[in-house]
Amino acid sequence: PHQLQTHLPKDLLSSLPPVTRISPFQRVISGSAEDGLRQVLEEMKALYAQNLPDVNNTKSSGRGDLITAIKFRHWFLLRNQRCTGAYLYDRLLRIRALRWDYGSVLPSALRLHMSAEEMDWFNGYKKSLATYMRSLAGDQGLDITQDMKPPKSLCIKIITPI
Amino acid sequence: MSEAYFRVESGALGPEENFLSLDDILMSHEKLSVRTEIPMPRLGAFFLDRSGGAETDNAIPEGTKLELPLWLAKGLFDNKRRILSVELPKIYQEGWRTVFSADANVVDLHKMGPHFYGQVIDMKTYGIAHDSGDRRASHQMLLLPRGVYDLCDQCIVILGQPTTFVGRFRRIMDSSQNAYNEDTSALVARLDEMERGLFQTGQKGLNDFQCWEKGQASQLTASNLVQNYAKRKFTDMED
Repeated sequence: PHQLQTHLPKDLLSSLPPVTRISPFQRVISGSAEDGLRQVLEEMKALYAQNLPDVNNTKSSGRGDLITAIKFRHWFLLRNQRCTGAYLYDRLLRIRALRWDYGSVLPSALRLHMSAEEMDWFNGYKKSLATYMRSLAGDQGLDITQDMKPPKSLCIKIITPI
Repeated sequence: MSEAYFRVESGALGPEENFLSLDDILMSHEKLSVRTEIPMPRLGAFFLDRSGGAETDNAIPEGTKLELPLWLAKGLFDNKRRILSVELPKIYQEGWRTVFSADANVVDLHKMGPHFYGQVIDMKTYGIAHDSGDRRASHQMLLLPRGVYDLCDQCIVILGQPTTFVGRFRRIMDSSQNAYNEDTSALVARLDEMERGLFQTGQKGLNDFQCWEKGQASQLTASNLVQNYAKRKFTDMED
């Protein structure tokens, strides 16, 4: 299975302001710097597995003192979930921008940095954008990814395709 | 990056952070000094050097000083039980507040922040959100120390009066609008993240207008992203 990269791809990375270069996966407490997405999920599994017996203990033997530990792990779970979500979502926002900057065919160097799922998402986005643009302005459609700047001259020549 | 990239903006200056904002995630990652008010069994594994050991159920003893990120301190907050007491970071304490009100421009908010505004507001709304019932009774019971409650009142002082932000706003605007083709690194170094965003917006407006005046705006250029990519490929070849 295709594994998603932990770090933002280098090509996208260097255009970021420095502070966002830090991976959101930086672990707080263990101090270990950048864990991968897989490790984050593993960690969530472990936290869940640790929490389950404690929850049962609280119920069955009335150990109210475990509640802090349960809440603690619970917040770690939510935090990991939030970081994962924000990370994957931000990548999609960047990938969406690629369609407008590079056109519909991406350089292979960029594709290398994307997961299979991200490629699927990109193709889906491309398709719906194309369908939308075809629906504009009569039969021909209108490519709104072109003409990103206002015309240079006040008089413009209009070439109509035959 | 390019104009087609719409990043999730920070919401930390409002009532809640933005769930998907990378800036807010980093902001809430900043550490707070806290002290445990109850023993916490099973959590010693997270703080290996603070654990009471196996015979105490791997508990973190009461009264342990820990550094917790803001998100965790918020999460562990409990209205009924006092679990943690939080030490107000120095920059929000009385001493610094006096400095801010004297001349906000002299303070290096990046060194003290770098999310100075987001954090102060986050703690403020946090304090207010849990400020139910009698105020005086609640801040003895609550996680937050007295200072934060005073701060809640004084946040308005910090942010609303011509002190910190308002005091710095004019200089940010001035420098971002006038430093054309100058080295701005010294100006930017002392700004907090939010202020840097403002400064960059001002610079972009200035630069775009200057380009237009010189007639460069109509020249077609490849987007930033494509340009950067091309540059990098070029340097890759040199290696």
